[in-house]
Amino acid sequence: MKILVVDDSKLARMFLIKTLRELEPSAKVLEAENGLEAVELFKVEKPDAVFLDLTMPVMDGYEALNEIIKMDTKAQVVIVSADIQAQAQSTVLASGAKMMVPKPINSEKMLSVLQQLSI
Amino acid sequence: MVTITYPNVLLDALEIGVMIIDETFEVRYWNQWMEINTSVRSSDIIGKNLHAFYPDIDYKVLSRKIRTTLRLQSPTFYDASLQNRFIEIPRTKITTSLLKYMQLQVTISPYDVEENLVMVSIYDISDLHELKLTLQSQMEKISELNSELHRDKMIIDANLLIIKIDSECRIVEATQAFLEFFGYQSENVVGSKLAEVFGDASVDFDTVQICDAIASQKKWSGEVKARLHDEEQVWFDAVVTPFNEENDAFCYTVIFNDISDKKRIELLSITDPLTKLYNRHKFNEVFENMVQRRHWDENHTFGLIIADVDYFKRVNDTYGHQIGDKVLIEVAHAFSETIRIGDILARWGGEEFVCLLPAVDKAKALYVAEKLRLAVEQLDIQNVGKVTASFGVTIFTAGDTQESMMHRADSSLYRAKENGRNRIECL
Amino acid sequence: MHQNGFTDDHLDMLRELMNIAMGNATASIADLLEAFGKMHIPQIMISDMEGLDGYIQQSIPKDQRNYVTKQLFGGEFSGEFLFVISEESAIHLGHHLYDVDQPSDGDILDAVIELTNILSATMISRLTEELHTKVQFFVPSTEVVDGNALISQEDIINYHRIIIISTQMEFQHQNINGQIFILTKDGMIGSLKDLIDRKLEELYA
Repeated sequence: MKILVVDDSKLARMFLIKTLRELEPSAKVLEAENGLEAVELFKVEKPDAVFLDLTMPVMDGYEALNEIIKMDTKAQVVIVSADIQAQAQSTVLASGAKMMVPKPINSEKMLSVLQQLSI
Repeated sequence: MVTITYPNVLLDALEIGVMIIDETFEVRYWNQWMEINTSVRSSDIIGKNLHAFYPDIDYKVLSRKIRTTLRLQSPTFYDASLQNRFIEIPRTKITTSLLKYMQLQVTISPYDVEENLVMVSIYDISDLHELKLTLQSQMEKISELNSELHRDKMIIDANLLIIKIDSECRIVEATQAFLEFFGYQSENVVGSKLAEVFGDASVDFDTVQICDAIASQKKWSGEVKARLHDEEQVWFDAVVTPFNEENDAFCYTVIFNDISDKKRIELLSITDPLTKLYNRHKFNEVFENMVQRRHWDENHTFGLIIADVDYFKRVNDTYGHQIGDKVLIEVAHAFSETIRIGDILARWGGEEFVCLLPAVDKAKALYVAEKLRLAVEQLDIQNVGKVTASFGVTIFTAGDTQESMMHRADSSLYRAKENGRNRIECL
Repeated sequence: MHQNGFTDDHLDMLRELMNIAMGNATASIADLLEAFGKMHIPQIMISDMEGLDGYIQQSIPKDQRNYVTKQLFGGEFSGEFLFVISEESAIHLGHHLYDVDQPSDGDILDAVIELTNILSATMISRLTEELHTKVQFFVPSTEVVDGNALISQEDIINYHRIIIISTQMEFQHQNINGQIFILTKDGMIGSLKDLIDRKLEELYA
């Protein structure tokens, strides 16, 4: 299993990966600091799922999501964001994200996410 | 932890108003402070709607605040400004009447979230507000005074010639009017010594008197003369006033009042318009003063010379009045160049000049007269050529009056004319 | 290493927590205004009074009138919450919140207070919740300030080490923008660091 974790905060990535590893210790994890890096990595690595933050420098999550879906309409993108506005959720779902989870992600949320993804 | 058995006692003891209401504004609790200050009894209002007692509250805002308080489970606040009066509670303070109603600080805190109850706490902050209002009005007054002061300062700066100098005669400040008058830039003047500023080629200003006054740390006033770069001569009435700076340093203001016009008028009244020498009026005044002085004796006396241009009528008849006037101007000029400092030279009338010589004896008076005679003789006047003059000289002796001296001088002149002109006689 | 024992990890953590807090606050305001707010990346700076003044000068245009609300909060994490909204934005806010064409000064002031209430309560409570601590809010005060001189000259020369947490509230369609500053200084910085340390221990455990 190959997972791409995208967040400008190193600690947020660490936290997410830690929670992920508790459930999937063998998963191969790739990290990106912004949308642009994420798109480049996605192109090369074709990960099984992407955990994507929205508010980031260089290229934000909305744009990265569009680029990724453009490359692969079946891409499994989970938006992990502090933005919990209903409109943010409807926007990313309309753009092709599988689901949206509010930050910070915990074990229960991670379990529910992994159950819903087809990996 | 202590269980509070009588919470009502606690709430009643507080010096704040407390009420508990639900989302529909039904009153559930009303403490003693509220009873006393609003004159609404708790037994009358509890169970009723706040709206029935206070219809003027903006219930839309209140409703939103209650909702926010309950949802966030955190207190919300009303702004404490005058416009946002929650409810009107009359104020009983008599000694000041700035506020008719209490200024309130209103906080809405969650009381029972499940039951949708909030606690409204009302603090009386009138005293604080009063202080603020008083301060505000004081500040307004101050700023008004400041702007008046500023305006006055601008008027002074633009119109009066004032400089501030330190005890070493260094200019500390100069008004705009001062700078403009002398054609200086502030940066060239401030920090420089008075004598340096006025000693340059553009402005010739005798600053000695001012600097002397400053050296003696005294108030001084007097007339000073300056010649501007365009050669115009100006007279000032200068007033030097010492004052203490905030840091206790001694400073001086010098106020210059341009009295050139006054000076010009004064000069006109004592000057012969053609030759620019003193006129007969001024001469008589000085002469009178000299005769009045009592301390003249053998060794300290004064002389009088009357001079008359020879054959002047002929010059006038031959060359015309204009040339005649020119001769008079040139002779006057030659005379004024020749006399000693302190001698009083005037035009008596026509081609006659008079000169008072203070502190001379007969020999010295004759010597001066001879120099005058030579000065005229050496003139070479355009169109006319050579001219000469005759001189009558006399010396003041005890018992002399103006008339007696003039008479003797006249007689001497007559004799000089008789004896061939271009000469000096003395009686 | 930064001063006062703050490392990049501390700053990163604070930024992420602030991001989460702002997410909650934006959602609350979005509810209130029935609008959608744009999220901005929070800025964290350790500075002194002069640096704070400079930062405020560059964040807020000097040629506008601003409604400035200041609210103190106390507890293990204590400091000052500062919300600055331009007069123009405040008028839009009053107009939007109270549904009146020309809101009175009182309406505008009340709207600003209400918005600040929600902002500060949501943000600070979320922030302190994440840091496992509690805060108490004090009564806010709002004033209209010409320009961006929010700190008096006398205060600028006083030395204080300050943590500036700042972000922007932006509702594009409603033309409502505000600048948020959370300031904490001197001794309180140590207390904040301890709270973050505990949070970091959780992560590295």
